[in-house]
Amino acid sequence: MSDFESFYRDHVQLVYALALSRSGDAWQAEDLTQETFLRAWQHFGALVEADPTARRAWLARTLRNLVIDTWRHRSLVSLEPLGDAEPAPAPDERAELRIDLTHALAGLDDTSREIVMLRYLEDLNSREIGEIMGLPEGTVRRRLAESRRVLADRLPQWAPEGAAR
Amino acid sequence: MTRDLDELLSHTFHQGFGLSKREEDGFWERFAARMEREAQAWAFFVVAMVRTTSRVRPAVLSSTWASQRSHPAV
Repeated sequence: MSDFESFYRDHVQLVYALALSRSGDAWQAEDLTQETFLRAWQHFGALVEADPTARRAWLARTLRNLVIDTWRHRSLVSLEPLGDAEPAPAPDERAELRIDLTHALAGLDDTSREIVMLRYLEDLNSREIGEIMGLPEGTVRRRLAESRRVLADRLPQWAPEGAAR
Repeated sequence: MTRDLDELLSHTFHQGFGLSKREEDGFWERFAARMEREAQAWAFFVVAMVRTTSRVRPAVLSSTWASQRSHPAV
């Protein structure tokens, strides 16, 4: 396995999670993920020298800039509640879960969505999230607490019977 | 209570958005193919640049030659 492949595999979940939090569409999220790693490949010489947090921060920042560029150039639609525009009929359980998660995330702003993805998909703590996003730890904690309430309200169907809220 | 909810959300997010090993492999394969295409495009660009430069060079050389002939070194 090449150094770059190791780097890719170590960080692909993080970048994909952030891309999903921004686009809400799996195909578009993969496209953004690949574009981010293409930039990383072009700057790999400098990235290998950086510490792990700086690498993750670089990837998050690059993805954010790409999303902004995409909005400007392709009129990418921001994450909105799905409404009547439901995709494929009879989706499997995972697809249903994704739809519900996307719908729930639509109740949050961009920053909180990113925080939530880093917390629950990357299992990072508030300090690590703050370092990646350039936010104070207290701000991350506050936003997480607010987001938790929103998500709990919007995802009750996925809670096991009798789960605490 | 917050911890329960945290664990539940973590589980739900991993179920919904987490990449399996197979998905990760697919991501890497598609990315590797794209890197190769980019490298080929870059190589094509470099070859085209070399060709353009080599087309320019004879003209530059002949004008240099002409100027040397009209102003021969002493």
